[in-house]
Amino acid sequence: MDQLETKFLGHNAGLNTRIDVRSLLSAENYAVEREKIFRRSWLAIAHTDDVPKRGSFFVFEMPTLNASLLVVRGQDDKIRVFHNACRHRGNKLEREAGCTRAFSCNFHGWVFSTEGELKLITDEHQFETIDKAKYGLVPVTSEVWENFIFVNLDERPRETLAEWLGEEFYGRYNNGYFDLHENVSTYSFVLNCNWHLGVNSFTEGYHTRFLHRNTARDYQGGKANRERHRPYMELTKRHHRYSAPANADHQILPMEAVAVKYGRKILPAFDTDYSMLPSGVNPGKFENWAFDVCSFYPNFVFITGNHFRAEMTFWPIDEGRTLFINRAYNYKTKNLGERLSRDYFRSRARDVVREDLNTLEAQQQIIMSGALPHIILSKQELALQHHYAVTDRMLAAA
Amino acid sequence: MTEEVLPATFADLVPYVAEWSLEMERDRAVKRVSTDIDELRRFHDALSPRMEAIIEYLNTFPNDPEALPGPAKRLFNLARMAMEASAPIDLGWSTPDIEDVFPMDRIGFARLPAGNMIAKSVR
Repeated sequence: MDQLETKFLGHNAGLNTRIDVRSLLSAENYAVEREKIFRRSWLAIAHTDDVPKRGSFFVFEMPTLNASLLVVRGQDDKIRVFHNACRHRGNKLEREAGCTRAFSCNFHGWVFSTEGELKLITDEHQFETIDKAKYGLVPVTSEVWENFIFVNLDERPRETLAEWLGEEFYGRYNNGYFDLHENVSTYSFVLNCNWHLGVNSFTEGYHTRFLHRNTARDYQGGKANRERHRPYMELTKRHHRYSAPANADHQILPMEAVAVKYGRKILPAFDTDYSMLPSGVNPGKFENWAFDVCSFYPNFVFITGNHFRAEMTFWPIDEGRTLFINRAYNYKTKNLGERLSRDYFRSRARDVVREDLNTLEAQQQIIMSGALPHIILSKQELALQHHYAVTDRMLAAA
Repeated sequence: MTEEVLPATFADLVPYVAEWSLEMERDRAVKRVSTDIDELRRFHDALSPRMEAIIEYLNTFPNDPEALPGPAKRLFNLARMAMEASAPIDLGWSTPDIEDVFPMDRIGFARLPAGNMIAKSVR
């Protein structure tokens, strides 16, 4: 029987197949990771269309670095990120999201512009002279890549975002691909597991034949690839990207056929017209392609498909708890029927994600019990090997 | 004159509206996993033969669910539920949800649009 073999590219050196995960899951190690990994990384927190208009803002509470971040599109159309803090006594300026002409603190009424300038101190003469220019909102280093908003909470970021992402990603999605989609669902909740396990669970396809046998039995692999080997796997300095193999013989279910007739194929069926894809998507130009799974170290996993994509972000709260945020993006619809079609595929994907999540708290408990001396990883789990190698490297850095 | 519950062509589906015409994704997802499989099948069997007609009808409206008149909106939400409910039936499950799976009631469904996505502060 034919069995497709994976094409591997990139940084394969220094990888281990046996990982002592338990030592990484300790409180002591997590305290180091907060500073040596999360503070030193570019972290994807939002999209430019989350702040669509001048004056649009929202607050992102990042548990990992205890940061309350205010993302705002200024009157000058520029997107900025600030600490969500009034400069008077540190009350939070905003709690949720909205659109405003200016930020007014509800504590003592100080006013800041949407560009971060301090415009008004109430009862100002009761203060010694304050140079307002020195008391604007505290900026957070941020950059936009395509339509992603990244932040860097290091005092002095060591790399630009372009350097961090690397040439294998930076210019490879620049045909407007991300703008083809809109957010259709967002799920946000706490998992009782370490963030490493969360990232691991979405970055290998070896499990799909087993874990998803009831929800998406035949969506990957097929006759010439029964083991569902990834046709393409690429490791960059810190990140990775692999392609998932679609099963050309996938059996379409009755309601699925209605969804396909009135919309576009998403998971578990896949469209073979790749004309809208940028060079970074399906980079191996594989014929029966389902989607790519990419990760930006440390904690951002994203799936790029034809007509859809999904993002999974894992924000550690502590060594045993993680805030999980899953955003689903689908093509923009031209009629109500396409919305119904999207709904169908959305419900199928949601069940698959729930199966992925289901193993996490079990793994956490078992690993923390000390039962396993190490975990052992296959070639199809190369992204996990890479994740731990990058982790080691960052923890070892001065 | 009181508004029709559903557009006249779909009057036979009116008995399903009160229970199954659900506007929020969370309500539809929870409804699916918490309804007995035979009930789910009855709902599915009533809706699925009409789905193409429903879609053809809805496609005559502008693509804006918020702006739909009441009867069409209820029909749209009923059809959304039919999409959500179908997989267990089509896949031949004997239960409305997978046996060992991350519970639906732990999934936090955030309100859209994405600009209002809130990650709750956790300490």
